[in-house]
Amino acid sequence: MKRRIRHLNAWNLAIVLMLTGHSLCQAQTVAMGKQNQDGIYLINRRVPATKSQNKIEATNSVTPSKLKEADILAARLVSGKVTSAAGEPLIGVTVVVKGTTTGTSTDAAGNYTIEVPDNGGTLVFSYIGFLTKEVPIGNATTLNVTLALDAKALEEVVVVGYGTQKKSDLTGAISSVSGKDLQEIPAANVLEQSQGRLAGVDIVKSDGAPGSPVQIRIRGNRSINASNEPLFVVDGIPTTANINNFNPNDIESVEVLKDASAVAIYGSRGANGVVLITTKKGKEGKAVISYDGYYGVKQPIENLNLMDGSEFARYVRVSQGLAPDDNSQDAKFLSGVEVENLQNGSYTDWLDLALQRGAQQDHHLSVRGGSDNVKYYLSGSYFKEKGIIPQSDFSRYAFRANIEAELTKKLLVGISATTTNTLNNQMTDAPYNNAIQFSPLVAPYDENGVFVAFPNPREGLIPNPLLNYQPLQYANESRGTRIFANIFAQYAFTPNLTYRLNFGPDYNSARQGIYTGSLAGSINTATVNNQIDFAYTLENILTYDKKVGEHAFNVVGLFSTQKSRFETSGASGQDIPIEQSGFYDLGSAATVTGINSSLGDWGLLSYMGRVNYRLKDRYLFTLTGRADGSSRLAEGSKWAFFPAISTGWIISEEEFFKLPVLTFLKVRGGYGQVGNTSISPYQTLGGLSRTTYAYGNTQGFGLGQNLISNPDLKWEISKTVNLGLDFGLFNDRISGSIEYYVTNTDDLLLNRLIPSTSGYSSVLQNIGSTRNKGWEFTATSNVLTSSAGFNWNVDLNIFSNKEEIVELFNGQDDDVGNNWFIGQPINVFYSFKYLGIWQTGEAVEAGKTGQKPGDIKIADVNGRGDEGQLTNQPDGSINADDRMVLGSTVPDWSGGLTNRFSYKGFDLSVLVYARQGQLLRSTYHNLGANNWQGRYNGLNLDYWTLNNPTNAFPIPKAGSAPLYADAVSYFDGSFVKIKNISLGYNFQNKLVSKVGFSSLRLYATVNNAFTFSKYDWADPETSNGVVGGGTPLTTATYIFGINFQL
Amino acid sequence: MKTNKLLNAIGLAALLFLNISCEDILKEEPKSLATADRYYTTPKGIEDGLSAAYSHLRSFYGQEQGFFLTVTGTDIFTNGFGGIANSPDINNYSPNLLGTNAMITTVWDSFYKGINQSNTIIGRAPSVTGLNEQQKARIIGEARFLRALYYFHLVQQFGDVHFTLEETIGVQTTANRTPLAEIYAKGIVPDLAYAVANLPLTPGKYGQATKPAAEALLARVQLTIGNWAQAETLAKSVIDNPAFKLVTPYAALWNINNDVNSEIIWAVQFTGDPLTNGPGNSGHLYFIFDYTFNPAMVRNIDDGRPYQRFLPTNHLIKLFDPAIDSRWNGSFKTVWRANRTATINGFTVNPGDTSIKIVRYPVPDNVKRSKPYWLIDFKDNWIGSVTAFQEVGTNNRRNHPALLKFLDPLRPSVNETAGRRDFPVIRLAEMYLVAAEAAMKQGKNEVAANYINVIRNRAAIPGKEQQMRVSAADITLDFILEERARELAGEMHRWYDLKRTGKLLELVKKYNRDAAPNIKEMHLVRPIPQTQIDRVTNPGEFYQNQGY
Repeated sequence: MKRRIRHLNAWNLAIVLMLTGHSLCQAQTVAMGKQNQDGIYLINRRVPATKSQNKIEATNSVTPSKLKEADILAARLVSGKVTSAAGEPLIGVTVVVKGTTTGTSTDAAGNYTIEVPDNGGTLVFSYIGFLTKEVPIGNATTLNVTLALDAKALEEVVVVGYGTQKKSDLTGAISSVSGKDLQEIPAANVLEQSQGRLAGVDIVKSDGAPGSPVQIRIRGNRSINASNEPLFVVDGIPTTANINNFNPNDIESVEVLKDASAVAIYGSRGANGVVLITTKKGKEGKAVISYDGYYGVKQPIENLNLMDGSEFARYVRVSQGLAPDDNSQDAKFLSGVEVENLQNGSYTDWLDLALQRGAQQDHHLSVRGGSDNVKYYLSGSYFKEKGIIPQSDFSRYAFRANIEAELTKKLLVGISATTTNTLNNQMTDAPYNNAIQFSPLVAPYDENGVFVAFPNPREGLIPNPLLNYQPLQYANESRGTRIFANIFAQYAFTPNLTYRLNFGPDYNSARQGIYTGSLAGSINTATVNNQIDFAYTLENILTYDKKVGEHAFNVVGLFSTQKSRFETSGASGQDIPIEQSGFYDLGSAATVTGINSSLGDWGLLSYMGRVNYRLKDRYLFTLTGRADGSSRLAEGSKWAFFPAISTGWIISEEEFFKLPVLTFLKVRGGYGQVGNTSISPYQTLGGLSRTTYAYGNTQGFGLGQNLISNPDLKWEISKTVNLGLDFGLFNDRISGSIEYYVTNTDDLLLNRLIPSTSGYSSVLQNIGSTRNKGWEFTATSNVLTSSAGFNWNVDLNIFSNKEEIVELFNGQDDDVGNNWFIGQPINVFYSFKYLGIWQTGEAVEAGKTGQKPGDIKIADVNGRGDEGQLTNQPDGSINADDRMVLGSTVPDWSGGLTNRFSYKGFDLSVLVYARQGQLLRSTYHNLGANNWQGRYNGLNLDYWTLNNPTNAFPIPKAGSAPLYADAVSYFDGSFVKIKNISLGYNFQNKLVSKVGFSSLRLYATVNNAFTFSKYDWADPETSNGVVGGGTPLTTATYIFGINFQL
Repeated sequence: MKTNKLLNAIGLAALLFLNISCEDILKEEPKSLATADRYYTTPKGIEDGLSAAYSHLRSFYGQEQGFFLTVTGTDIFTNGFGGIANSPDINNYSPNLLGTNAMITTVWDSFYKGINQSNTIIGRAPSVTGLNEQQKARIIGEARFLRALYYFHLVQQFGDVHFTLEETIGVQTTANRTPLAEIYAKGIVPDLAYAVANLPLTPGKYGQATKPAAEALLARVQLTIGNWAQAETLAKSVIDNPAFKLVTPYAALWNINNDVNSEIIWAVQFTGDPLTNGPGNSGHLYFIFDYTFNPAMVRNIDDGRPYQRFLPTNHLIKLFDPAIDSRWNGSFKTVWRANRTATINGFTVNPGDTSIKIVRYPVPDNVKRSKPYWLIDFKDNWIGSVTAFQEVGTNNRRNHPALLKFLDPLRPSVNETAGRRDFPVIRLAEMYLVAAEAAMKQGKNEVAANYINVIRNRAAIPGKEQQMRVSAADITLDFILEERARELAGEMHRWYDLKRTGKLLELVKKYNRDAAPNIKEMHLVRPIPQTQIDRVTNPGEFYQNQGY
């Protein structure tokens, strides 16, 4: 099969080459004409919304002509009034003579006057929330224009894999969001901007550190061991690398392909969904220069309420078995300096010292324009985020050039390329964690103001929380350069048949340097790691488009090759004589502690075919098949075929369907398969790993058994059924979709833990299956358009996904060792169930489990029968069997609600984001290990004492951690966030044009403005279910910005 | 036709790209991946595999988990401040001592990795080309020595355990529980017998297993399973080996520059080179207390980084007679020197002055207060209940004589955990004690006394040799255990010694008041790691040890 297809491909090329000579000179309309045709068709169909436009076009049926500046020799004035369909005047509508910089805007009565060339031309009317309209001037002196509402979401063209489709023609499940909406959120990357806007797409920021990754899950987790990351496709080129490298300001739209029928064209890489990112392209017309910039401050979202000095002293005393106010023995367990500070009431708020005010800024400058033949979009931007933890920041310089040139009427070539430089400084968790734990009764500096590494004499383990902030004590700097491009040529053999060649190189080089200083008495160390990745995608795409009577076909064929190569090298050393050299002079290190390098590569070959067939404009069929071969799988199992079929029926097009309210109704359904090969290369081969030993002073490096080879490793396959319903109400003033889906994933690439008596601890196998099912609801509505110029739009999405493990390697049995349970999501919390605190009256009962009043009371939920089997009945004793699944990190449902208001020049948008039903573990409440023994500080918890018989938290005890301490750290992680509030003002054009702008907007934004949650110590949003130590606090961001065009 | 040419150029370029062969793209050719089938076929490969079998020793010897499982929970060591705070369960035999214990899991996992690695070498060495039979026997002998050692620890800690002599091929999810007698009979004893017969007298590279090392380990094994005569013979063979001599004085054994000495029969290797030292010997962390509570002291390399895990019991302190036995001062640090200027009891203390002094007898408070240093005395109060500030054990189990055997002043920095000291697994003095115990068990108390007098003679303070001598009448099991405590305190023998002699419960109840209330018959074996229990597919056959 492989050979034949390769053969076929060469044959394709032969056709290309042969046909070159023939068809080159026959200038005909390119395939793009199809979209225009369809567009007109739709406008005709939607009579009520477009009636006025047609009317104007009818009265001014002059062919638009291109204008050049030189043509504008004489000028005259045209005036008129711009109104909405309801007849209300529209204020602030931009009116521009097409192809010139001449522009104005309407006044409070909706009137405008503009200087136009004597020989006519075209006026362009644009206004937020309305369709832009072009009106030929002809000889008219008065042009009254009615703008139609831009509410026809169903008529949007959306990007699907290897092409575009009208939204109304879709048969698969696709969510999309426009770049304009995304830009309401000031964030480093497009994922963060998309949070709360895409149904079925769960996006969470892992922590508050600048440049930290954002986790995205499309319709849940399917895979236990292989990746659950979706495939990103930027301007047609697939990539899995860091999305932080793409400047979000350049993005025109984001489409998320969710079900198998939409995704199947990405076959083996689509199991986790596909995120298509389309960047802004050039537009015909004079250059439009835009600047968008903002600056803002960031404040930590926290309510940690740590113990102050006196509260800490009380807690220490209680932990020693004393009354909280009994200060008679303080000197025994507090250090001298602590006792002194306690007496003086001199306390240190370490957290306050460890945090700072962050900042964020973004500057984006772009030029967009084009002529008949060449269109361009160029941009440059600078983004910088300074974290709330000192020495943590992320900055990015990004440049983009998107250029298309029509060499002949048949041949289009172009490039869409970006180059990005990033710089990321990270701080360790230590200052923040240590600030929470450190005694508030000591000060960071001595009486002379000199920094003390260990200011608390009784604490030799945890250094001063501010240690890493001291000069030359810590650096963790990553620098990266990425070049990512799609270079393409497109040739139209006939108006219907187009060949496209995409070549997408993706080059990434990164360096990380880490240095730790010696102030705390350790030896200084430095590490440098380098990484060079190069990947490319090469695609040959043939597209055939034909409409014959009631039959419309769109056929796409693809052959593609992808290859990725990644190389790393690194070195580390210690005892560097000149501290200033940091990690830049490893050669001077007294000892080299490590040298490493590695090489990995993988390849993928793919053949894909897709047929879209539309009958009578209402019956839709899509058939897709893709064959993929992956180097990462075992010999003989490398190839797999991924088919998908889907269908749709636009019921509202039927003659019998006549409902006044329901103006659009479509049902659709699809089934398909996709695969997952996202495992590390070479895992099928097994292998040895290096071990370290010595014989005397002679090195004793060895190679020992490490991985079991698995020559049977094959694809993990997901099968999805998707049912969807699209609707439009009141002339599509309200439109939306409902989706229901079930995804079964089989042959999981499972890193199965095995008993270590075998000499190994795990093996990668194709075992087990998972299921994800859920529903999604999306609606968008133009709620109100008042005569006073008040507009109100609403976007809503709500979705729910139930994720469960269906089968594991031992069939239907739970795998306690891995925390995997049948019927539960992949990531669950498995621990003891917390009942409260043993009270004084319960001393006898507590004693049965070896506990005392003040200790943690745990639910006895399980026991063992005579043959050692679990009974699920209390047995009077607490042991490992009494652990249970407390909850999971998967929410019951999530949703986002965007409200947009505009009035005169003002616009206001509010995004509310909710994530409900997930559990979180709070490491602030980790009372295990040393944390609740009167040694370390922590939250000012309501803990049990003789005089405070609370059920909240156990009594602290010096010398032992509370039994079952883990049980108190689980909380309902549900939250509702006012994710974003953005208020803007568009200056009237008259004013703006005086200073040479064509538009000017000022805005203020609050990001993460408010959070409502039962867990109120810190932001409950988390990607792994853990809140607290190691995950720096998230921030609320207050921003002022400006946006203007020239 | 300019564009025509251009298109042709593009087409040709595309053709070139497409000529990359499909098969090439899908082929995996890792540059840096070795597999057992390919690598363990050459002399270099099999030697590297053998080194890998040694590497797992370092997850037990000189490590916290190894110390906890052999040193604490005995009559001579209990939890110090850090022990009780961080991991009290093993010493205390507490209800929390369960299969979830991370230290126990670490030891189990790494020993079975070591066993599988040894099995691999033993199974594959015979078919390596380029080695003669003698070389093969040496490699197999070393691997069998290591396998025996790993199994010996496992059976002593866990009782009946999974037993196999074959390399694991494919995925194995079941485990067996083989009676420990069978593991001794089919594994440990024949493995060591093979090693005795085939290993050279001296190592090719220092640290490799040798014939005397195998004899010594087999002597220990035979003593454990009650084959007294064989134990004595083997121990005597090592004692009579002219290559080994007791180091004099006793204190010289623990000089960091003397960890390679004539008394070492076999040691797990650590080095000063961070590239080959792995986790290092971290023994220096555990036996010391936090001296920085003393105002005249800050943390320093010589005195160490105090993890404060282990604390000598009153019983251990009282076992020594420092007037005649150099092993008290040779084993314990009792004096600390100031390294900053401070005021103690109204006196100015300068760097170099004494800052802490611990004595083994009671001292009146007014005397203590008259000293320009902390004078810590010993009133034989149980360490956990001491409240008087300057008494051994006070300040939450701080202030105690600190075992100095593993201190490592050559670490590069004060907080460095990876030490360079070789861990002395078997030293000559132990062989005298093994021989003595074996002789006594055979009713030869006179012979036993002679063995013991050799090491007591070495331990005697010069001029006190006569007072140190014992006679046949003094030889009892309790005396031998006491002598072992004096000689080998902290050297990872004690738990096994008590278990072997059937004295674990009796002596722990008598001398370790932290453990006394909890210890029961079930504690003669440790809990099987929960991960092992959870992961086996034959849980009915592979069960948890009783009581856990």
